[in-house]
Amino acid sequence: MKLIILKTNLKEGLDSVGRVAGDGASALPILKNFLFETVDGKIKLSATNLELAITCFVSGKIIEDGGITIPLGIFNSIIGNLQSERISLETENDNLVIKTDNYEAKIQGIKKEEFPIIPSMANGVASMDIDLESVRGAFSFVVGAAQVSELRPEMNGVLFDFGTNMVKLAATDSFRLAEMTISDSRFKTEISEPFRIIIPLKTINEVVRIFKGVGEKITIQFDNNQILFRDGNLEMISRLVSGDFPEYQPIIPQDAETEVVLDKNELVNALKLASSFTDRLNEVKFSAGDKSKSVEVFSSSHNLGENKYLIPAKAKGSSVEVVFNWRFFLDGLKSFNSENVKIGLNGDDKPAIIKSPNDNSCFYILMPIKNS
Amino acid sequence: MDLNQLWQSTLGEIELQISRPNFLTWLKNSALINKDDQGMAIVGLPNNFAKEWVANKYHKMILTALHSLDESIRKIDYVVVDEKKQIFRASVKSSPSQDHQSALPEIKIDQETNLNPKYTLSSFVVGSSNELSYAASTAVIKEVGKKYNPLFIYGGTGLGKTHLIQAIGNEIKNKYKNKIKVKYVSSEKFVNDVVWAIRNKRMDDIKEKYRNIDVLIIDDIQFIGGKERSEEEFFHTFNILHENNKQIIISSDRPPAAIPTLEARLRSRFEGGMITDVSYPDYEMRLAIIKTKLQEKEKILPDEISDFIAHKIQRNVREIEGILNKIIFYQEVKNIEPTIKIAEEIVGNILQQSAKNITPQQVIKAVADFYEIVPGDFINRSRKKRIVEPRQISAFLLRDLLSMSYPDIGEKLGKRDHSTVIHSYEKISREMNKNHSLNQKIILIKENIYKN
Repeated sequence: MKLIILKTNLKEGLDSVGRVAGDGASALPILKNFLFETVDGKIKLSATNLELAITCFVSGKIIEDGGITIPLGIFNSIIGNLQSERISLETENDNLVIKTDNYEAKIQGIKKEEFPIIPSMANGVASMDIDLESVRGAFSFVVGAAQVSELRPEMNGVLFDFGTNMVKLAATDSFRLAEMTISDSRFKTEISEPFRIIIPLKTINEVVRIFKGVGEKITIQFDNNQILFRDGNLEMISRLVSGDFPEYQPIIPQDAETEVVLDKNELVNALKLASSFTDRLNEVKFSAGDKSKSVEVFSSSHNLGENKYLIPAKAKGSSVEVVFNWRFFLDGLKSFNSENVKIGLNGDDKPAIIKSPNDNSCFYILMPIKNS
Repeated sequence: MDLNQLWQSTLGEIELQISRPNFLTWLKNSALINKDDQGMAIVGLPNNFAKEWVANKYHKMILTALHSLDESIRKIDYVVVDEKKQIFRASVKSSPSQDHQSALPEIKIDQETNLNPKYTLSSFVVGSSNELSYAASTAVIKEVGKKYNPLFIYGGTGLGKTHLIQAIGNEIKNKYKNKIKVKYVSSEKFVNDVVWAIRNKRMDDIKEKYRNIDVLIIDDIQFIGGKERSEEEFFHTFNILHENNKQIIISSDRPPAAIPTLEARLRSRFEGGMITDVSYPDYEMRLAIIKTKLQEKEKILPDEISDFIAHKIQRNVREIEGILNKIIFYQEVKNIEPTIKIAEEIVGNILQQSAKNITPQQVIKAVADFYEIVPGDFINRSRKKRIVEPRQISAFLLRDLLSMSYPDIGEKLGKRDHSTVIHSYEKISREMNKNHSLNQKIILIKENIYKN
């Protein structure tokens, strides 16, 4: 293999594939490498952790076809520190020689035949085109509600629930749950049967990280155990999480005994301040009352003291005092874009629901901490 | 015929042909799912990566191996199967009053004992090497938390520690009809839990989880040594349980005093209860174990073969079970009445397998490391006691593990005469059976050899 490539292009490609190399549980040394090869007149980079594989085409001038795998870490740091824009790369037996005007390096690689074969989708698998911004938005909105759990593998992912005229995305760690709906004006597909799949958290995070084209579509294909995301030069294939996502519909509060509408940034601020006075349980007391013009956020700690913060709010319904974990509360709030949020409460031991006042496409449910 | 056994034997053969990381990466969690009359076998793999790789790179190897074990197999198809069948079901329990973060309804985690019901006291073979541990266990079952607390059982690998402590848990569970909450964890799981809790700032979950139980069983406690936060957490858990007369049962591969990284306060607490050991079974007991295992599997073997295995495998009960499985497999699959010759072959294979990756240098280095001297010291002619013992142990291990010839060993240990080596070997073998501390040392050195 022999080629000349611009540093900016190469770096972009490396950034896309970079996070998965050497990330998996396997001890196989070659997984720390990425595959560098020429395919049909294009330069292709691939990396995998055996759960997730990313391939990326970058532009450059190919003088001679070929391929090799090289350790990502060292290659990355060389490319990152090089000053010259033009880089020439050439394989020499199992080594890769990097050359610029005044620099030369030789990296030991491994033959490309040793690299894991990246699975592909069978021909004719139905696909779905979704507006990229909507997917990224929805993924980022729900992903914060999930945490990696050994006990519940089916919760280590985001539910992708296709219902022909909409897609619902949901995630939960059993203490909170977030859901966002993407309406059918945002996607096109020939799939006519509803389906539910669970996409691993790592995959969700990587999709949000590397697919960046603005206003473009992303193509999704999947079969029983894998899902593929494709957009221009980038392709990501991932395993799916097996198992059934918890049936969460019954726990969504239908109406609220108490309802408050308040400024989101004020509340975020209040929670951050209150967090200084909490101990390990992260307890923050949230009080709202009928016809009162404000909501009180209160926290105290045995050793430190206490504080309270009043936020102007519109409230209706019965008075209530609920204790929440401020971290979980804040996680949920931060994912809303709107100026105000609407919080529905049902006593101090039932889930609370956070919504945006004029947008019904998403919500965040949060369990209180039992008041002791 | 049992597909699982067939696949295990196939894997056994493939394992010898490819490197360990490759084997683990591609063939872990694989299974033989089906084979039909047309000679088509279906192999299940956990993900698409494994499927592509195995189908493209290992196909020939697997087909050859399968075909040699079962001649009817001519073709293989590979499929992806779900990695884990869903083990944890969502269940709604009446929530115990807890003053910390409650979970969303409908999705609560079922607490389990983690015990494997296959371990029972009735299937535990008792002999002189473990009768004290057994007696202590039965006493604990009779009077939970009162008599021997904590109960600390130690001994080498494959001698039945896990069997015994899990059996205690199972017996208690059955006897007291779930009125007593039992929990079994490996110390690795405990450490993982603590790490998880620190990372997610949920230490209280851990406290809740481990302090609300009546019988805590911890396996392989030696791994907790040196992990400070885990040790501390375990120490507090231990104290609270102990104060409240809750039973604690611990297993380890060595006595508390010999776990160097263990904090003194934990050690002294372990020593405050009952410490018993399980050591190597003697010949009669090994024979009894073989008979029990055969009975469990409802199989019959000629006495001479049982006798042969009991003679050959002296140190590890798990190996005995492995060999029995293989012999029974022959009996069923190939329809050959097992003869002493076949048994010899299988036993030979197993003994060799464990030694296949060890070099004489590794053995010498492990011994030197253990005694904190440099390997070069063996080679000189010094007769100081601190040099002589390691040298003799090296000679013994080289013979025992690698079956090297006496002259070869002499060569490796500084051009010594083969008769000197024979003397060393015999001396150590003799003393091992009498001298407990020597025995312990050798076990530890062996572990280090296998670990590296």
